[in-house]
Amino acid sequence: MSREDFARFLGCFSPDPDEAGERYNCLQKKLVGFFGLKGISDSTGATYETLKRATEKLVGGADVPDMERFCLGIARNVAKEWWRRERREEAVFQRFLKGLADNSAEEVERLEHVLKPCFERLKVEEQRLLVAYCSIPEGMSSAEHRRQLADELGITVGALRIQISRLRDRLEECVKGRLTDR
Amino acid sequence: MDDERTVAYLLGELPEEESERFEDECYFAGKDWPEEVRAAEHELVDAYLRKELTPEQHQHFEQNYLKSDERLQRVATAAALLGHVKTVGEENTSEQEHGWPAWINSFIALWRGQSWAMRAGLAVGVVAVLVGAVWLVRSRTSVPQNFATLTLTIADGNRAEGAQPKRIKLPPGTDALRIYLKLPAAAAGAARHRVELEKEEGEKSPVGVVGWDAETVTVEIPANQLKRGQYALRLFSTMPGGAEQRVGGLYYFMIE
Repeated sequence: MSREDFARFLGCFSPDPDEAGERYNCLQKKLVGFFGLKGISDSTGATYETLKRATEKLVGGADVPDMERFCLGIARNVAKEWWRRERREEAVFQRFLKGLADNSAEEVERLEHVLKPCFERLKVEEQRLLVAYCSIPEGMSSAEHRRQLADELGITVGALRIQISRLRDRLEECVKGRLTDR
Repeated sequence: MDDERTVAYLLGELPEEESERFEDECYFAGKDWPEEVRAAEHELVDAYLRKELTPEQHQHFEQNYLKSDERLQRVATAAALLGHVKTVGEENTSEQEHGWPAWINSFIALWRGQSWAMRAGLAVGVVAVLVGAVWLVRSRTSVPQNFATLTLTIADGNRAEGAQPKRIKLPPGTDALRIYLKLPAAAAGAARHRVELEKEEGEKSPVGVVGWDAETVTVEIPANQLKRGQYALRLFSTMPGGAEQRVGGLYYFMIE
């Protein structure tokens, strides 16, 4: 998209450039979250596609009273198209099946080697927290274990879950990075 | 949005209208995407691997949730995390266990699943993950254990203009140099970073990015790739929804 088109797009958020920029960044994050929720692998690419289409429609003269809702509508279409394409391509993947070996346990172990340095890069207290959270004592439910751990730490279960979720996201990013960047 | 509803959404158990309402609630919840949804997703994956889901949920998980490479990789990473945590726990308690735990067996069962479509998707996801893992394992016979560390701030000028490099001497036995690159404002909030190492003679090579947050990108360079001399690091950042861009300025350091 051209600089002029993008400026026009931003202008639809607010006449104040700072506020428009902030709202644009929020929208981007929400769209990435939306595509992640939909299980779309390239959520950043899908977000870009959505914003590109929204800009084109705006430049084409579309009347947009609510930018966020407008973009969500486009995002839904982008997601549907993505899934239609996936389903079509699924048939192509069938040939992979015959070559599958039944030794995935070894492969999970290999993935552990990739994860290990990522795990060790966390602070010691973060490592301990993850170990404690994931090690559920025999006979105890996950919910009960979470509640007990939160009590021990003096925080709410909600706060504990968010803390763990952030740590796991960092680990996932690190693993992804090690698998793709090298 | 409660957990039960989030789980039902992720398992594809909600009618379409209700699903859209759920998406709307997440999207319009506030300034940021609600983190509770992601937390519930992590827990759902754990529950699947630990075989804590009902038979119906288990089936929906494989049919409806595991439908993209991203999610397959997420499950594989969660399996690896639970495996690692178990190992750490065992090391701590010196307990001996035999056989694969239930969540790894559960992961194995995925490979042998009955659903053709699910297996096809799984195959692609796992193949992608494993190719990367095998390549990584082969390309690095050992994981660095001893690091020397350095924190660098970007410099606008070049060497000729007198930008002063930070100096470091690598102690004997150092496996790698870990460098924390302070991000300039222009690169904060990027979705991805790539870093290139430039030697004095101009030779360039990619550097492994091992992590980043809003303020810092962390890279590691094997010690055997660093001889005495001056080096510069170039940063390339990709903003969400944007193309990769070179960040102006360089990070300089000198090995003594």
